[in-house]
Amino acid sequence: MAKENKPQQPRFNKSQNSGLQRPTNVPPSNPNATPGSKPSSQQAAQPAAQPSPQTPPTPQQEEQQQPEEPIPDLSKLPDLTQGIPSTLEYETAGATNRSALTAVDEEAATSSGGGRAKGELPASAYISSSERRRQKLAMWALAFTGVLSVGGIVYLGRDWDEEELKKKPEVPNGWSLSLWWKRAMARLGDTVTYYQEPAFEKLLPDPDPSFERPYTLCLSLEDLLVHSEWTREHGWRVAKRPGVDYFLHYLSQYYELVLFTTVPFAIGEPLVRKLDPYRFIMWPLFREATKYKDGEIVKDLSYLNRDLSKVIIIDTNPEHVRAQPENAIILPKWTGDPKDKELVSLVPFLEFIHTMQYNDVRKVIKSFEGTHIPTEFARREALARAEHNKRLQAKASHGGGMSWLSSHLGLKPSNMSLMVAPEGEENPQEAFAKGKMLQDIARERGLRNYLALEEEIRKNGEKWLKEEQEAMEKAQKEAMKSMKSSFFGWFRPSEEQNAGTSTSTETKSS
Amino acid sequence: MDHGRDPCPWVILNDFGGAFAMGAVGGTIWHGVKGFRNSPYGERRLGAITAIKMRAPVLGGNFGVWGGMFSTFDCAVKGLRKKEDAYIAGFFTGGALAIRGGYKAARNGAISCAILLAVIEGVGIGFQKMFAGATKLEAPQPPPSNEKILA
Repeated sequence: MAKENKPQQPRFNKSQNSGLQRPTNVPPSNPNATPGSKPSSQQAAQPAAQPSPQTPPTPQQEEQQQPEEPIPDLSKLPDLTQGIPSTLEYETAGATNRSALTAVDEEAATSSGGGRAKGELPASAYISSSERRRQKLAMWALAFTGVLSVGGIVYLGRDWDEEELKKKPEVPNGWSLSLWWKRAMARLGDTVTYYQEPAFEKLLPDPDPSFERPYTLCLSLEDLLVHSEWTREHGWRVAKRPGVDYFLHYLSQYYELVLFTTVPFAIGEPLVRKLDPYRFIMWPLFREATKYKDGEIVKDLSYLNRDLSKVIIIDTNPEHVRAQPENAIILPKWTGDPKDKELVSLVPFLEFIHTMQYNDVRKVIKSFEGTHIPTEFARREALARAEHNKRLQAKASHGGGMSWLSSHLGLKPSNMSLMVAPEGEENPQEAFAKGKMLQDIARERGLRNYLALEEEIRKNGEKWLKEEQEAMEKAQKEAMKSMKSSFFGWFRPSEEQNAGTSTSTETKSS
Repeated sequence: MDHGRDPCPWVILNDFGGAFAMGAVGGTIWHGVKGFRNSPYGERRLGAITAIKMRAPVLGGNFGVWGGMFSTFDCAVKGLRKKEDAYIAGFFTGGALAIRGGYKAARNGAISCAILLAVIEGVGIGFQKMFAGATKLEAPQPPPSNEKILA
């Protein structure tokens, strides 16, 4: 007991022991105390080992030390009733004996392991059993992971099935190491791309022939149709862009409207329902329908299941449409300005595309590249109108209005359908004679339709919404009921089964 | 635009408070049961309350520090990279919290925290993919208004 305590003693009273005599009766078994072996540590360790009053090792020592014990000068001791005094000043003044300190450090280092000396036992003996267990466990875990990953790679690189071989002809079957590795990487890549591709191969159902809108218009949501803003007082608030209702309602007669947004379904769906309760937007597509490519979300229109020459996408972020930039109209972000007219001013252009029945909208968009589409379109229209009026005047002076009209129509046979005037619309010939252009006629008709539509909504909108809500509640109730019955079916399966078999037999008999 | 969460600088405060509340409530349950079980009969209620009072706020604080720090790093990463990478923020959080243990501890903490958050993110992506099937657009049902007028 005494021996073991010895090396730890000097830490506490080394500063007082300079005057002590050197003990002569240190047990030789203690290597620290052997003279000459560690000169630096001896200075502090040896003298300090003895004076502790609590460890009187032998009676001999006591006899020797008793008379030497210095009487401490009590008057110099600090008054501890005022708290423990700081030693900072003392230490920074360099009063601490450096050599003594190093000696203590070494002492502490050598005396680790319960005070026993270094070298008595091999180093491994000082590792605790729990530590050893942990190390063993870590080793096993590491080995297991290694074996598993190697096995996984080997399994991933197995030969292709016949079906797989058809899909991936570039990496043949075979036993060579590189082929094995390539197959493994190809399989791994498949797994990763599964999560990066849009959720479906065809985002929209096949075009319905009865739904007579040849073009598809994709719109983004945030900062195009709506703008969200956050303030500390009100939290999130969403503003509709000026004229967004008009934009959607009016263009829904020309275009199949698709909302293509990068917002996830859970966040976007309530917004869309609120923005467009009458479902003028036919197909809402959310984050699930986008592709993740090179660390960016991309709206890839090639998954849309529509002829890309008939698809226009309006977006605010060129990054999102970088798969098909030729189909895209990029608008600046709407930041909540209530006087904004950007969106609505696009309507004449989009209407014109429908009126003219262009074969490839990408060419039209290309011709407007780098310009502000509404102003450029207005400029071109004004030019065309001047031309038109000039020609009309010339024809009128020649007196052959009909021949001009037929030649005009002959140039664009696809417009023939438009020439059949519905009731309540003036004869196209008369309209032309009045100096109207084709798009003016289309515009008039569009406006009439739009106004009728608005009238209908005002009259029946409430009713539709109510009906829809009722239908939804009913569906919800039914779903709840079926869930309940299937849940309780766990507790009485026999009844359910009986009912199931009886219904099945009924259907068979019927 | 996630309308369930506040925008960046404010969300830190929000997350800190949320994490603190979570830790405090969880700590109340945990230490309540622990204090109850570790007290002698007759003093079990008192023991539970004492344990809760002593330890639940501490646990809440620990959670809060984690949450606030994670949110801070998340905002910083979002601001710099212009996209969300929870695992990078997790890497820094783990490292920062373990830095007092030295370089090695910080490294281990950072890596394990990043892995944890990457796993959480991956599970989230997996779930999104799983539920994406329900959003499939089916059989055209044109808006009634359109049908009535334009057909």
